[in-house]
Amino acid sequence: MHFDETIVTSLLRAVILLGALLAAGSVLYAATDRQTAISTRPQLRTQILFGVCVVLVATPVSLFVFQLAMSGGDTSLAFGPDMRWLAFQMPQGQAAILRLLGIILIAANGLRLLPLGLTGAILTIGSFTLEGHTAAAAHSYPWLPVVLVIHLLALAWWFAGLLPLANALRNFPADDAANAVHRFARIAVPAFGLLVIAGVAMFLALTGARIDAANRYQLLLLAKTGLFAVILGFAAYNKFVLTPGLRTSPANGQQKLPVSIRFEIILAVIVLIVTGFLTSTSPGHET
Amino acid sequence: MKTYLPNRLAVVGLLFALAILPASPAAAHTKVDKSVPADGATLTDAPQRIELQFAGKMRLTVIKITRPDTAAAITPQSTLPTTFVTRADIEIPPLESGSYEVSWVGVGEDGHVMNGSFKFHVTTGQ
Repeated sequence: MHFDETIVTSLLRAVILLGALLAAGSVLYAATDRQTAISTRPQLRTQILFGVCVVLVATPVSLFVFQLAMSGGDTSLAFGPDMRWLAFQMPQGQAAILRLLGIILIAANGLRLLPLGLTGAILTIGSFTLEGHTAAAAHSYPWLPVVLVIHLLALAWWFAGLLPLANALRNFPADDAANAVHRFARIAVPAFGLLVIAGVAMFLALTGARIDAANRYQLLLLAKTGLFAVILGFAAYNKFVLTPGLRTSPANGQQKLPVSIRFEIILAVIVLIVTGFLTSTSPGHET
Repeated sequence: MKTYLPNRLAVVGLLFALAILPASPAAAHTKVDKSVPADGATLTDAPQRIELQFAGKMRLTVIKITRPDTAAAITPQSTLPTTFVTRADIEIPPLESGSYEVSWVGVGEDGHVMNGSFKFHVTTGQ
């Protein structure tokens, strides 16, 4: 009686996180930079559609996998009404319901009414606080879910803003492109600050501030931190080297900056995959 | 001029991600601290209940008691706890002499599915 769902579940979590961040983040990005959002509306709509479809497909699949795992791989037991009902009583089931509500709100509203879209975005992001390590540790650290929401909102905004920014650089006139990048950078700096502070706070709470090199969770976290440091390097290079170059040498800047942004997007996707596996690994102080 | 560098980085990055990710499961967040009967125990009196104690709170979803030699399944006489518990008592019918394996599946408070098994031997009437 054994069904190892770890790898499938981890990949599904990464996919759901990617879709949720893209859909919710596109709404957040549209709310913070109306000018760029109006010009890159088709791009943002495509991101929302992609994110919504990913979450709508992957969430039920992850619940099926969860039911199968809960029943020890016994398919006749897994898909019976008892196990389905049990799944909805579990943190995963409740998180899935909230996430689907949020994502449907985003899908129905799109970019029309921002307050409604933002409500959908917050519900979608908030659903991640109902499951996983944060939910389990919330008994000891009641502030942890709030910190996770801040972490994910900052991440969603940044992640979803990258492609529209690259798009603006390719298609906008030089001055408009430079302005779009400056508006992005103005919010990106505090967003990255919040992302890092929240990440450190969660690490300290979840690991008990104990460093254990033999712990798989901490090794994965180290890999994630390393990748994130590279992203920060790219972000700093973009801000301090390429962005000022947009004013002095627009053609060069508009060619180089999108390439650098693509690097950031690829690294961010890898970070999300690592995060999916992190959520399936013990932080090390529970067992 | 179109650059293919990000695409190459994507391939290298994904290979790196796959290389550092766990190849084996690491989801066992809460472990069984103690079981009664203990794993590998030989009992002269057949147990009337199975007791599981977990390191953290757990919602048991499945428990199966089987005789590996005959593949017979023993149906527990009590239902599983319907809340998260650190200790579960499962009543079982009288057991004959032989080896038994208890397999369990449960969900921890963080939503992670865990499982385990242990064996014991009954020598009643031998």
